[in-house]
Amino acid sequence: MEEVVVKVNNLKKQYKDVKAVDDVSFYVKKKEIVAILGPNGAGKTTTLEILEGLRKRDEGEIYYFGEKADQIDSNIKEKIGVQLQSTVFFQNLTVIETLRAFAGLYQKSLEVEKVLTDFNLEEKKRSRISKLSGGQLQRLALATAVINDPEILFLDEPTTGLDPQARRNTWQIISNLRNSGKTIILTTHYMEEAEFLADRVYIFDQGKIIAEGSVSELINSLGMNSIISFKINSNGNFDDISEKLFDEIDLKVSKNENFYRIETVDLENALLKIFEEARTKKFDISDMIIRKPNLEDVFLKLTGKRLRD
Amino acid sequence: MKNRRMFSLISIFTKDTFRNWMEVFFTLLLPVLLLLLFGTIFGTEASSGTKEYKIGIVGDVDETIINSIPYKVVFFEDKNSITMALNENIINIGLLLNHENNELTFIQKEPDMNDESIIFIKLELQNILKKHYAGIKEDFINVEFIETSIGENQENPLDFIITGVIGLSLLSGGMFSMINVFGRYKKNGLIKRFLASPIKPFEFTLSASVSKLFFNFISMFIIIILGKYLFSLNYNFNWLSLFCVFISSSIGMMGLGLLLLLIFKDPAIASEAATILYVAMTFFSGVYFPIEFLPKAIRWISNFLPVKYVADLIRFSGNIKQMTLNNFLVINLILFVIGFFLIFVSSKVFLKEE
Ligand SMILES: Nc1ncnc2c1ncn2[C@@H]1O[C@H](COP(=O)(O)OP(=O)(O)O)[C@@H](O)[C@H]1O
Ligand SMILES: [Mg+2]
Repeated sequence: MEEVVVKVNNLKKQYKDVKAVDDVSFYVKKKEIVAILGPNGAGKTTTLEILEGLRKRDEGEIYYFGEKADQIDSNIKEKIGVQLQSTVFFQNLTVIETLRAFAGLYQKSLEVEKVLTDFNLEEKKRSRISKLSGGQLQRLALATAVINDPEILFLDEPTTGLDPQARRNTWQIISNLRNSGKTIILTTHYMEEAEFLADRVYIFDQGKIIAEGSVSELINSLGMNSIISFKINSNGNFDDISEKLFDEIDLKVSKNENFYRIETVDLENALLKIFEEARTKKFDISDMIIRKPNLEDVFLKLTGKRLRD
Repeated sequence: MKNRRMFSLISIFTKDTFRNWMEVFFTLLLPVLLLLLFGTIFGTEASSGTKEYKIGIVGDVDETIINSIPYKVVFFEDKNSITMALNENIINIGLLLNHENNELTFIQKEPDMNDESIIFIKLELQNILKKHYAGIKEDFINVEFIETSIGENQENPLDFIITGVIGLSLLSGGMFSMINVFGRYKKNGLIKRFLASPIKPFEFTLSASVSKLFFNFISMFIIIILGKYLFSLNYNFNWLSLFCVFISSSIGMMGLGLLLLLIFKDPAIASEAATILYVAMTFFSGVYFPIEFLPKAIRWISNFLPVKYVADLIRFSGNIKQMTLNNFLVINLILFVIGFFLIFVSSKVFLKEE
């Protein structure tokens, strides 16, 4: 069995009447990328920051490397790398000064110049922090997270606020980190990010874990192969027909104004039925998309909500 | 290893401080500007004493004292005659010496109260007479009766100013730096990233304080050196007690900044309060001009402003103001203990897990 490096049992944290983390248990194995996926306010940051020793837990147990950690002490902090949801640095320092300073905070550290190159910050190393772009800041935050050559990396929404190009770059960096043997726990509300990076996913909602597993396990658990979505332009009523379709083949219909979304394991038959109905009832179908289900569908099925509104 | 962490932190705090325009302005530039401004005004004022001043005296005075007074001296019989002479402008200021109860009373016209020249004549007379009499009182006819303690060798008001400037610099340096560190850095999340590293809260606090002390120290020396070369001041500092004052005042003022932060919570508001306090202290504390310049009604405020005590301590170290060694030590101790306590409390309050 692979080694479990982080284990959390029944973690709880409440703010006034908000249960930010409500009885959460999970584990992370060595060299895994685990994604905590959930909408804003799901309790991702609170969970991570409890693990990082930045917030107090109300209840629950945390194990690091098989040992129970009542306090997240400096021994643990030497071995973890932290990227906060928004990292703020001294505005008047340069990139290289910042990285050197962080290197100085740990017993063990990587070579600063090497890290600058790895994170594509070489050109900017003499720039003041206040002059950096969002993407550059994000890369610096990642660089400071790895400067102590940690065994476990906590990345809190590492690509939020980045443009698609920068997001792709960051994904590549994170993949490389995994390949170099790091264990990574990241939070995100982008399902593509979890799908692209994660070995396993914990889906959070309202402080609870509502599903867990690898991306394919989670998607297969939906029991559907395909999702068809389309729009009906005329004012017909498709609903009673869908009743009939339900019985004949295994599919599920949901409707939002005149947008329809149909989940099915039997794509060919479902499509046939839809077009048959459309022809006989003279429905005008448009904007049809057929796709594989994704984590968004898992979340939708479990909560009735979308990950991002 | 612990030393390495501290060194790393101190080094970035120091770099950040020296590059922080606001901090440099308030701690270094503003005091220097005020020094230049007031120094020039008072420096020229003191030297351009072309007008002939006349002093009226009631009481016995040694020949040697009279000779050391650089003004014309006229003797009078009693308080009434001196008052009349004053009203007729025969003399500019009167002086009653009472040997029995060792009392010295100044008599001056009400409109002269804010006259800088008269104030400096008084200071000068006090200096000369101080060597012979203790427990001197001042008396402003028709106006008031206040006690002012006076120093040993205040020959040049610039001494007075420069020690005040040092006081203000220590004050703003201490106060603003801590609001910055525990207020702004806490609020914007900068501290959080450090707390996620193996740094311990007290190491963080200590590093911040040490680097700010270093900055204050540099500022103090720049002011002292400027005073020396721009205004050719010959300091008479007791460097050991100055260092004592430097440490206790800086730490005390850090405590004051933290107190504001504990009261107001929001660093922006605490910072504004600190600015108001700073301006108030500039005017009320007798740092740039003797407190007698201000109307009596608001003069009492100075007693509540710590900079007054800090300036007094510095003046004591500079041999400009008299104070018992006991008082000196007690004020130092109070500043240090209060400051240290508040710094300690702050590292518990501001650096704990949420
Ligand atoms: N310091 C705090 N004080 C009060 N409520 C908080 C605090 N931090 C988080 N919360 C609440 O706890 C819930 C979870 O927040 P968070 O962990 O930041 O979620 P996420 O990172 O998933 O967006 C939210 O409802 C949030 O409003
Ligand atoms: Mg969050």
